[in-house]
Amino acid sequence: MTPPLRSRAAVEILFALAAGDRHGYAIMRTINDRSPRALTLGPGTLYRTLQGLHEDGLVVEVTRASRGEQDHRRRLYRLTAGGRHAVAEEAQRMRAMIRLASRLDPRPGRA
Amino acid sequence: MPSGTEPGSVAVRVYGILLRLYPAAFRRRYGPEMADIFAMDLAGIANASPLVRVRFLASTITDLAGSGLATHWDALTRRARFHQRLVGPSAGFVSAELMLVTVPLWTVLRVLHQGVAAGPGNALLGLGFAASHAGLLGMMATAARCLAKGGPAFRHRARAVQRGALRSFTLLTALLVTTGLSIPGDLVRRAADLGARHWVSWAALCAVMGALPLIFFVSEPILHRREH
Repeated sequence: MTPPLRSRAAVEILFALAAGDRHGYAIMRTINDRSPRALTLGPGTLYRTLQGLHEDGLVVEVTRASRGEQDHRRRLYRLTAGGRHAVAEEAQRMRAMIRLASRLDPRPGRA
Repeated sequence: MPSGTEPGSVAVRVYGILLRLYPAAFRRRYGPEMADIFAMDLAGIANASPLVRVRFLASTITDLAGSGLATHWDALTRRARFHQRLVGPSAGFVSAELMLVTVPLWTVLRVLHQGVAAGPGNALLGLGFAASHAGLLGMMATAARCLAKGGPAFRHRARAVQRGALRSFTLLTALLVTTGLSIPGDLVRRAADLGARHWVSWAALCAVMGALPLIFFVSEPILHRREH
């Protein structure tokens, strides 16, 4: 069973990794460029959330042939099968929310 | 990455110092990557307006302080969960540990107060004392077996035994020190007299006291090496 996602940052990171393996800086750039006003992710929040996702078994670190110190220090992160399942569940939940929201009339006095 | 004595390199060095806000394990694992990201972000705003730079520094400090505290909290709750798993399901282990600590102490106090005399009470105490030593030997054998077999499950069990041994030692030492400070002088003299006459028993007690932390200190580097 997929553990519940801990935070908005966790959801954003999983969605960023759904497009492919990325290192920390690329994840941060993807999220901050995608929603600059909604969520600004700093390195501390990024790696704390990645650690949590790793412990929950949703993300793994990928080692690849070293191409110098910089590459060695920037590890790649990849979704596990559980992580892909969590992304699918979250996307389904979001679609349901959008369907619900589209039926609502936000004007005062209307339900 | 900025280098030399540019303002950027000073900021990266300060950031490196501020990373100490995080738990050591987290810092070792993610610190270099975080410092790299900070350096790259800093280089990206090198020609930006002062307002943008101030906003960047403010968000960096907020991120460091907030996530630093949160990471400590994560580590604390992780440890609490680990101990809960360790102690929670094994009531038998906790009872064995309590017996290991209380029976020898009770025996020693009884001997100090009443001396060594034949009788069913003292025979029962002697049996309890022997049983507690057998329990300790069992504990040590379990730890050795777990260390020899390896694997995550065995390492987890070895850690449980190791922590149990250390807890028993701490509790036993605290009880002995407290008792030693509170008993009257004539009992201390009697203990010294008994020690002189029954030195084998006292040597056995000292061996037990020494063996408990030994389990911890001998197994710790082995476990650490296997885990990393």
